[in-house]
Amino acid sequence: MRLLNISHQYPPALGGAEKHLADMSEELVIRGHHVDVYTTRSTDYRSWANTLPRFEQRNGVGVHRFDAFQRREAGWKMMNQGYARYWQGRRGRDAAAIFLGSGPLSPGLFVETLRTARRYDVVHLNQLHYSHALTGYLAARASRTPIILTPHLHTEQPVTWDIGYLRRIILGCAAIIVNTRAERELVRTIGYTGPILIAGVGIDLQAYPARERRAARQALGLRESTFVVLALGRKADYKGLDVTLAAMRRLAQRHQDIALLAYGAETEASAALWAGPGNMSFVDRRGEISNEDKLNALAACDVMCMPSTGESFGITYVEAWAYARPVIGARIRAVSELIDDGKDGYLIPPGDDVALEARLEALLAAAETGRVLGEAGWKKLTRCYTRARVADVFESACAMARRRGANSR
Amino acid sequence: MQVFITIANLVGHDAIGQCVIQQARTFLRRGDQVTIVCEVAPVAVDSAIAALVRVTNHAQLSANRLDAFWRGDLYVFHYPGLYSLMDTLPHLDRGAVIFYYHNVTPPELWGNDEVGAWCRRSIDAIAGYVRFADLCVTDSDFNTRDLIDNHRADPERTLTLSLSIPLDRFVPGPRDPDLLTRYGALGKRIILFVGRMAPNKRVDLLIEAMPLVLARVPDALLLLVGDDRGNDTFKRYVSGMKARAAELGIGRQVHFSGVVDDLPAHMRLADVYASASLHEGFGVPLVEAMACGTPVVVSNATAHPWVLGEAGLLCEPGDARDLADKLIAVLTDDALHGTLVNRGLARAQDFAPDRYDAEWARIISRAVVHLPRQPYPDLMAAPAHSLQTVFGRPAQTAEQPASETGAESMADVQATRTRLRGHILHLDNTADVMKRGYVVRSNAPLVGKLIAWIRRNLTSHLREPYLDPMIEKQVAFNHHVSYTLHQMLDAMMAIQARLPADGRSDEQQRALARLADDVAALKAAVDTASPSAD
Repeated sequence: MRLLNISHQYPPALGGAEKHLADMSEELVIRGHHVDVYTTRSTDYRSWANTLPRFEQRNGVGVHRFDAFQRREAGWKMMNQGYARYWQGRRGRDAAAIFLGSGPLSPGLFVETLRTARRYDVVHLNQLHYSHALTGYLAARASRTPIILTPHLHTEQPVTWDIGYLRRIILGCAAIIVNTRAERELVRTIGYTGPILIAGVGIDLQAYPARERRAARQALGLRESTFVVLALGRKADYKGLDVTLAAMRRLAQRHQDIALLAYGAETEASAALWAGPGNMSFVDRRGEISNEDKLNALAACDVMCMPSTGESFGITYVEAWAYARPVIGARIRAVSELIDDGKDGYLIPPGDDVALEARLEALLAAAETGRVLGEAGWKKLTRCYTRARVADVFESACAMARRRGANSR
Repeated sequence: MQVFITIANLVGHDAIGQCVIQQARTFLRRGDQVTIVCEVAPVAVDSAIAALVRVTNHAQLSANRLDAFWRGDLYVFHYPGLYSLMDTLPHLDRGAVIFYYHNVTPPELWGNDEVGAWCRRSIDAIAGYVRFADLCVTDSDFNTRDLIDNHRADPERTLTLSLSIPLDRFVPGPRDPDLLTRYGALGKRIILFVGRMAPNKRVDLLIEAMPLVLARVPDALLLLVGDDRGNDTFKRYVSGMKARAAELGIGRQVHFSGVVDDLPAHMRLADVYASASLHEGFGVPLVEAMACGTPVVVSNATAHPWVLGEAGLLCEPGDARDLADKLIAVLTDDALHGTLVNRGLARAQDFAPDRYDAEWARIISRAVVHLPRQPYPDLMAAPAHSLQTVFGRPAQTAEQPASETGAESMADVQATRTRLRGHILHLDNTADVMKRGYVVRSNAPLVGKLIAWIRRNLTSHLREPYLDPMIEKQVAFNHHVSYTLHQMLDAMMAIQARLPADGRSDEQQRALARLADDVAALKAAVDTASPSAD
């Protein structure tokens, strides 16, 4: 099979969707498929700056990168105005503002897709809500190549799917791959009647080598006795870091030997959080960290806590399970599907720092409970969320889309 | 539409063979071109079906010996176990694919390493086929659960469609005196088992239970019908069982008949049908026995409870004592015997061929909905009286419930339910009136593509904002009507069938009346929405 992936960014650019695509592409190459990627030269979605080489071969995957218009202040303003006005009347000009403001806008990617898409059996669009999805979709449609889509919808965030042209893309695909049942229900609600396959996100277990808790703690400068809570990921406002911080502050009043590792790229929201009043002595905060530090943090923590209210899947929870650590998330739809409350982690009401405090207190009091939850998470990971398992689903979607494409020709 | 049905070997008298033949006939009635692709020549099929069969294998197909195979519109892969034709499934480049799962016996239940190894390979391969199919269809809820839980089938694309049996052949009737004479069963009470003499059927448990049964029912006789010399495993198993029967001193009360020609007549001979099988994907003989008015006692394992419903007795799997107790109860308690006969007759109606055909047609429609130029559900084929029958029946029931007149027995109620359900299924099949896969084409020479382009692009401003939403609303309404009718029918029949007429409370009477009002309101809504309904 010849597969063309179209994505807003591709590694070395960071991000869950980017990593997911790279993992799947490389796995399909191992299985004997031909896989190419058309993407931008950007590593930063805020500016879409063209920094990466135009072509490289990454583990058998041909990565073709195209220039995109850089997003500046005017672009952000246009997008935000589009979002502010769009749901008042669903006018086309507001949708256009969102499209132009979101980016990446890459004429080269559009033209090359238009020119070459028919050489491929299937075109795969990765990540719906950036503008590459529409340009890739139109070009693939024009060349009558069947399209599959991995939208990575945040069900609680309509900006990721409830725009007219995003709905049209969904309805025009031959098959859709989603991460959760909630996402599938949402796609059905939009009116899509074709096959929707649930893949989740798979991780490569080899990328998470066994690591001693004691050694990991030493590497991070943590004491053996400390109760360590890890908050991992970009510190966006919806990730629930404020909730974790509030719960930890109250916990710190009763327990001296606790620590919160807040690791991940800083944002304006997190900067405001750190600038606020209150005890911060238990917080070890770091910006973007190396993979080595990330693995150390996962192995060193007693619990991974991310009460985020906007997740399409929640790969970080799965990463914590790779080291058999219990996890705590907010009871939003996607996360509720991933975490079995009380079996492999805990779910708390979104924004409820009192409930979070109670869960942390319980884990602090009974380490055995955390161990049992973590072991259950590890078993679930090996059963459902490995890279090979997810690649199976991807392969199936491609086969279905290919048949449907041939039928309509 | 070009349809290919694949099966390892087509045997006309086995359950899967009959299923394949019935599907082929359904396709032929629809006007489709059908080819049954097998690996060996068919056995015991009529000439019309034999004419549809092509004998080939994966190697020959890969070498394009049957070129048309790769250009099919719909493929139905029957899976009773691994065979080479299955390997074409992942490589199909077009069409819609249905994986039809009949379950595979767990290897540990075969006392044979070679067959067991084949079973293991067959089970291991399932997930690899399931994931490439557009739809999976299974014979029973047990098979559906198996496919979803153990082979990663997608619940949204996995459907249960129970096998059907020819209810015109399997009917209650008198015992055949010739057969009674042949088996020395005059004046005896017959316990019947039908099936292959394979270890997983646990016929040995029936033998073990017989001395216990004979102690209470001295005139009992165990009649074992089915292939007892098809392969070495069967021969060894039967030989062991005969030795065990002799050891228990019941050799004269156990009779192996081998394969028989007239199965319905054998079903009618029996006082009770018994099976201790530990693994059944469906269990066709259960239904055949019920249809012939023979009570059923089977092990509470795999698909048995689902097929039986409340129409028979279940015994603990592997427990000869419990099996004997249940057999004794049926053979000695006339009231229980009568109750099971009536329930069995009613339950058997759920496996009627017309019901299978209606549901199979619905599945086909769903599988091929994305294919171009499909014969969309044909509204004109609906019986002219069907809507009146569907709507008329409940109103009549509410005014004068038939069971109160004493005219309708439980079987009649079930027959009514089956008929109504057939009508509603037809309504559901024809609900989607949208031409989803329609492709604008023109055969005009030279300018054909231009004409198609103009038609496609210059009408989209009307079609997309106006026509499509209107038709989609109609489709949604149709589905809603069909779903609502299902719910009402279930509710009404549940109340009506469970309660004797003289035992209904005022509240229950009012519930029935309310349901009738709902049906009338629904009819009014449909009449308002569809001017042509009258």
